[in-house]
Amino acid sequence: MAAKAGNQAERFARILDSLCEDIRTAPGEELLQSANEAGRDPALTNARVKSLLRSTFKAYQQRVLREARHEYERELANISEGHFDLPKTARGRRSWFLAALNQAPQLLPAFTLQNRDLSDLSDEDIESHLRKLAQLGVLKAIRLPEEE
Amino acid sequence: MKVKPKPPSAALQPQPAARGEIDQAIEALTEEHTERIEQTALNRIYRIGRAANGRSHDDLIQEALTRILDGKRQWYKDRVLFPDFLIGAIYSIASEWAGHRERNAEDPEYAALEAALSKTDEEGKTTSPFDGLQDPSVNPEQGLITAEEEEEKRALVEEILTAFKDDEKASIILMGFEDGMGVPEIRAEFQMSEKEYRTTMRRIRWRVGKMMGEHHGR
Repeated sequence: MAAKAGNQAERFARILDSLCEDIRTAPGEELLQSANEAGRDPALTNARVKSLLRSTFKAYQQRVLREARHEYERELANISEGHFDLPKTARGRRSWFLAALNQAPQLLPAFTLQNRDLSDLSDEDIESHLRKLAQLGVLKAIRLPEEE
Repeated sequence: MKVKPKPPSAALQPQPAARGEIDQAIEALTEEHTERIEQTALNRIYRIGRAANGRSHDDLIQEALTRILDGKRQWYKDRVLFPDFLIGAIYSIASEWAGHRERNAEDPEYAALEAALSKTDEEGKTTSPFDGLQDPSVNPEQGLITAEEEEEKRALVEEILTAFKDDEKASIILMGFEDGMGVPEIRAEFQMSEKEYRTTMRRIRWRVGKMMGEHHGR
C-alpha cells in the first residue's frame, strides 16, 4: 500500500476528510475524553461556541431589524414624496377621480361604502379622496386626463 | 358517495424551523455537540488551506449559522438534529470556499505577489519564483502557487506519516485513508477490532490535530 506520488494535495485531502468523518461519527464521550487529554476543557469550548452562535444570532436579528427599519423609512419617504399638484378646478379633480376609479375599479367600494352614488360626492370629498390616492401612490400608477 | 381525498393542509407540511426554534437549539447544545462542531470547523479550515483566505474556523461556524437563519439552508427540525445540520452546513460552506478559489485562482485576493515570493540565496542573488517554470501556457504566478501548495501538502503528509512511523496500526489506517479506503474496508483488510480502531483513531486525531494547529499558528 504505497503512498501515491504526484498529487500531494489529494493525499492530504483524503487524510483530512477521513479524520473529519471520524469526528462526525465518533462517540461523543470519546470526543470529550480526547479534548481532556489534549488539555482542552469541553465546558469552556461549549461556552465559547455557544457565545459565538448567540452573537451571530443577535447580529443577524439586528441586521434584519435595521433592514426592516430602512425599508419602512423608504416607504414613508415614498408616501410623503407622493405629492401631486391636483387640478385647480373642481371639474378637473372630479375628472381625475373618475379616471382613477375607472382604471382601478377595485377601489370603487372604498368610496361608496355609505351607499352613496359617486355623483353624490362633494367637491371636498373628491379632493380629500384624491389626496389619499396620491399618498398611497395610486395616482402614479394610472393615466390621468389632461387638465382643461 | 366517494369523497375526494383532500391534499394535506399547509399546517401539516413540514416547515423550516423558525428563528425562535433555532435559538432554542443553540441553547440546547451539549459539550459533545460543541466539541464536534468546533473540531469539524477546524478540520475543514485546515483542509481547504489557502482557500480560507484568512477566514478562521469561527468565521466558518458563523457563516453556517447565518445561512440557516436567512433560510439559504433550511433546517427541518423533524428530519435532522440541529448540531448535525450545522455541521453539514460547515462542511458544505468549506467546500464552497475551496471551489471558489479553484475557479478564481488568478483573482488578486488569492494570488501572491512575485516580490513576496522571491528569495535571496546565500550569495545574495535574488531569484524570481517564476524562474525555471517551463510551461509557458501556465500562468507562472499560479503555477508557482500550485507548486508551493503541493510541496506544502507533501511536507504535511510526510510529517504526519513520520509521526506515526513507530505506530503500526496508525500507519496502516493513515495509508488506508491515503488510498481512499473506507473504515470497514481498512478494518476488514487488517483485521482490526472496533476497539482497536477507535483507540488508534483517538491517537491519530489528537496528534494530527496538534500538528495542524501548530502549522496554522494556533
